[in-house]
Amino acid sequence: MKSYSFRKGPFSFTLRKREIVLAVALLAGLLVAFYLGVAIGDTTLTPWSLLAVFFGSGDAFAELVVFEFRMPRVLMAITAGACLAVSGHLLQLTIKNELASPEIFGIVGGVGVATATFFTVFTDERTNQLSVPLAYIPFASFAGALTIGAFLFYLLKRGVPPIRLALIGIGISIFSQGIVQFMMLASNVYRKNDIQQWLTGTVYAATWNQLKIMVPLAVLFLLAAFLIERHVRPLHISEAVATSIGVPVRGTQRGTLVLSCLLAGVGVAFVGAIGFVGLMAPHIARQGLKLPYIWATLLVGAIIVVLADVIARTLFYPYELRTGVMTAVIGAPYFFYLLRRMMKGSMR
Amino acid sequence: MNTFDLQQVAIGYEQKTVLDGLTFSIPHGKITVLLGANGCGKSTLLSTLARQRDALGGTISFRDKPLYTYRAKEAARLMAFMPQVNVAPDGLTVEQLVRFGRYPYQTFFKRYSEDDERAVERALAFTDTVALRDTLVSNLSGGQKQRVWIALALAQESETILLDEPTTYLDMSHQIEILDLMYRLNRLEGKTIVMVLHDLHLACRYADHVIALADGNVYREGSPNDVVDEAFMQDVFGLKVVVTEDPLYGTPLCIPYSHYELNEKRPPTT
Repeated sequence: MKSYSFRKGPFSFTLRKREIVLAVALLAGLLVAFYLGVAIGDTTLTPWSLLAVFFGSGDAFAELVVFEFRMPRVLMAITAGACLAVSGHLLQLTIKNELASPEIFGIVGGVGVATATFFTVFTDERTNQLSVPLAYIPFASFAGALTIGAFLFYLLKRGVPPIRLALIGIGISIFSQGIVQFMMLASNVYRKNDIQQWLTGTVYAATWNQLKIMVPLAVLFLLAAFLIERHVRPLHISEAVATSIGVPVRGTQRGTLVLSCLLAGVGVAFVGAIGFVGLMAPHIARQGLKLPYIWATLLVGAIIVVLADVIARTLFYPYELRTGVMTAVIGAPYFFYLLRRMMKGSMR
Repeated sequence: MNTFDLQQVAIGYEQKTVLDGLTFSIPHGKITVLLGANGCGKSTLLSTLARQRDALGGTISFRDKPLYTYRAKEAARLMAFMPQVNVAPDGLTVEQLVRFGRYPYQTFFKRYSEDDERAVERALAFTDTVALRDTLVSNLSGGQKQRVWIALALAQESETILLDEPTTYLDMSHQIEILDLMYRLNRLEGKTIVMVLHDLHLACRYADHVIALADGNVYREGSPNDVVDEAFMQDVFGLKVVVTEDPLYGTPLCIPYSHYELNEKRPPTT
């Protein structure tokens, strides 16, 4: 297989030709998705008029639509998709479980409970506005995600097998939805709406303010993911081989689990439970494209969520579906397919 | 110098000690085979030596230093371990897998140096897997797979290699192929090989040194000719045998008695 090596002083790496080609293709795919996300809607923009807007020579209305309504939405979709995908990727590698993902293992469910609690506790009864800064929401997400993460860690240490782990995760998801429903009953109509919106997941209401909080956190955790990648990949072979080649196995497993929870927390903090992305994106990258790398998973995840949003709002135009409904329509059958393969024992 | 020195070592699982009071050495530059009945703890012992699990007590020295004072990467440059059961993740090619063996030499920036490439090429060549380099590991036959996993261990360029039953599930010609490979590694490259083997006959043929385990401790150790006799077989395996000489190599060859009449032929009475 053709590959290129770059070696200079203490730096060295190799790139295979097909990896370079696929990277360019995925970036192009993201660019196309970005264009569709920003250009399609009530007023549809041609690539030229969109370029004009970006260079400051478009008309004022197009500028408003692009910068105030669509850009935050698309950027939110990219960030959420990337974080969820990488979260799922790290989980799947570190615990060698093809069904692993933040949604199926109940991490997103935990974030749901934490977020609903946050809305309930920190909303001013008279104004129906948050009584604390928006920037606190991700920390509620982290608390929820890490609680479930700690529980998963305990189950893993006890050697619970993959399928049972997935079932427990689904149990956690259903249980947390029950709690959230109960909390909705107890709250007023505005909060009910906030929580409902979170539960199905949508990038509809994304704002620049949310992005200002979310993007730095996402970038920080994604960088951490790139740093830990080298140590996680051998775990996908087996703990025994990882130990043999000198990976600090325990530390890597713990670090990866925490990072995966934090990424899931950022991913869903504002947009809610956009389901199955953390399951599908790593599979598409790893099995479909044969790219078992974080960069590939990240791009696939971002493309999926942006496209899901585009489809969700154009399919029954002028009505909009929630983004999470769209990803579930594709993701749920895929999950059952995986489950079936696993039951048949053709997968570990 | 010995590769391993054990002093009063206890080995096993959390609440259950399998082997206790182990005191023996594994010689440097030799092929050592651990023998014993199923469940005697030989695999557990091997994985303890490979730092896959902690010993419950006693001291283990590796190259004259306590085993647990080595940092993970440092240890990985000195010893490689091949587990008994190996399954590669879907979609991984032979070369991609073997490259993982270079992990202990790499850093965030130094991902694949010329040394790494040389070591991988050597490992592929030595195990005769160069032609398979772009094949998916999951598509290989049993014997090919085993050679690829050995190549992964070789890419570590460690002086010591530990293998847990490298010939399981292989037919006889592939068993010989793998053991010949071990022999060449030892004689040509001077590597210290420590293996668990089930096949007593082949163990006796290839081992310089055997360590037999029974009843929670070392039963006997030494060269195969000194260790394996009829009393040994009775005590370690609970099996009545006639020990004869391998007509090709002069090593011990055990012919076991059966407990039933087979094909009308009665077991000869002794």
